[in-house]
Amino acid sequence: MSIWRCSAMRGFLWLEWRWIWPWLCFLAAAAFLLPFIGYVWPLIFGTGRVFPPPRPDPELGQAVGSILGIASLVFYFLLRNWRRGKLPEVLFLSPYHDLAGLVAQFIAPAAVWTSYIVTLAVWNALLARLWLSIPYNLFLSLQSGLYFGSFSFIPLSGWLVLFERFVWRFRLHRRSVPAMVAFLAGSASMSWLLVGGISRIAGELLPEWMIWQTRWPEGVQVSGVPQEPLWAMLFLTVVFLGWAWAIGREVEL
Amino acid sequence: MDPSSGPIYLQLAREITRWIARGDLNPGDKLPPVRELARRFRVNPNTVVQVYRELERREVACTQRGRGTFVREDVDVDALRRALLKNAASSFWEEIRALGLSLEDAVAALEEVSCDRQLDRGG
Amino acid sequence: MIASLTGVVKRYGAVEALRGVDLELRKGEIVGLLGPNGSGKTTLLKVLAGLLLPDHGRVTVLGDSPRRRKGSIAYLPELPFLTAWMTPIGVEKFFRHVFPSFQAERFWELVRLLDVPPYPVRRLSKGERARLELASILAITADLYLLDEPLGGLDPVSRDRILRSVIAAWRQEVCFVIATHLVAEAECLFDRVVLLGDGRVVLDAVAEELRKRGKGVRDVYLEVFGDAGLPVA
Repeated sequence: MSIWRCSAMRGFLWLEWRWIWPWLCFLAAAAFLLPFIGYVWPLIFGTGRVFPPPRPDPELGQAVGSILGIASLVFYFLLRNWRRGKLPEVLFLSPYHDLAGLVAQFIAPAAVWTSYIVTLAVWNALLARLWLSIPYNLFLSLQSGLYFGSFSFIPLSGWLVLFERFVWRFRLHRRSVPAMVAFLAGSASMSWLLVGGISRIAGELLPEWMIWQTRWPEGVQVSGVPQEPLWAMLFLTVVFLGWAWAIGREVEL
Repeated sequence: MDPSSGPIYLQLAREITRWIARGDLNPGDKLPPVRELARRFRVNPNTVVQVYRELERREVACTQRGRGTFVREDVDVDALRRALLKNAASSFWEEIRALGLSLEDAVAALEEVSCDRQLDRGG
Repeated sequence: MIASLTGVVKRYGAVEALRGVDLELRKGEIVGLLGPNGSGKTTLLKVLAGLLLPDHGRVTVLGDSPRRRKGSIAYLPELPFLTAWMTPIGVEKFFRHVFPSFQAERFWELVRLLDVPPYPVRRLSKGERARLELASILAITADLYLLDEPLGGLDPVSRDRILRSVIAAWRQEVCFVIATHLVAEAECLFDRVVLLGDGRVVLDAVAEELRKRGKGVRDVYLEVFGDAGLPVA
């Protein structure tokens, strides 16, 4: 049975890729170009000093990149839902649609987004010459990328899957104003919740096992260890996906 | 096949009988498989099954399990030919009566038609 | 028995698309679902496929709810469903993964029968696209095939090939339900015809029985639905 699942997953993942490849290209371009903003901006619009020369600001590049990443949510949603026609009806009759289709629909944006963030981090570090050694930088970028990704984009991808099934279930027409409003309001509140809200309550309300301590490589001294609710986020993602699956059983196409 | 003039299976049975009468199918020949005949005439395969059953009932064909349906060896092709002719004749006769004409008119009409046909072939 | 509908009612908001439909579908049958536009044919097929859930009544496929029998039902929508960039090879690869009972050899045989060129959908004519879509659905080995207007708006050659390929795909163990309003062309194909008017089954009869009484299916259709295309009385 699991062999078949893999085959079906490949099929559904391929379909997701075909639907969203312009979005992927857009993010790839953004990941490549945006760090230049952080790098170039201070040099062009700098502090007015000539000496010492202004330092590049990798955080700016990362921040703009992140905002754009969230804004590209809209792009993703439009691409995926605008012109699918009746294919979902036919696919609905695949015995793997309920599970493999749903998981593929989650994995595609989550993987793309996480890669985007990691690429952004690596590229930023390279440009800002924050390069100590390959293992160190890679480790840091991967960790921060995956960490940040699971903190925001992974639950966000889960939420998107839930949203689509919600729209089907309650028959909000895709291109209607209510659907768009629900989508934008939902995305915004989700983003706030993930990036802002939960961090704030993390230390106080969440149990120990839901917090993840950032691990630094040997020999690096860091004062104060960030505590972020990584596992809580992943748990939330699973909740979203489970809920989406449950609603999916009641949708009508 | 004309759906308005009666059950299709009877029309199809008549057509196959005509093939045998004309010599397109000989006694002992294998009739096309159900699906092929269904495709050729664009009819339901169950209808073709009914056709073959009807031909069996008329003792024109027989089905051998696993091998298909065959025209019977002992089928009287002449009798079939005459039966078909009689069918055509009775339709013709009905037309004659409907027009209020007589047997002589019918014979004259036939002669005329056969002359025309001979002319066509010669000319 | 392959599928059944008992007292099925389906509403879209205030409109009742199906008003208490009773229907039984058996093995080896090709059933023609006939009726004017808006009579509920598409809704009925979607309820059978499990895409829609009835508001009242019961629908079973192979003894269970259609959603639990997803591998056994194949559905061809009325509107085009393949995306512009799909080629026959792409369709085969994709469907092979997603539908476990999809048979590649049968697909290519149907593609040959239906004369589908090997180009992406955006380069195909309407008839070629419809034929490719039919091939992809008929290549799925299912117990119940639901075809919604497979002949609609197509040229005569396409219609002819489509009817012949349905015959080629027919098996004694499966049931076909074909919704169409091109009655004259397809009627010889049907074992049974179900006339649907305004969400109700107006007539459910064996086609050859109708013909024994001297009426073709098309004559009966015109009798039932009249010149205005609406049920008479």
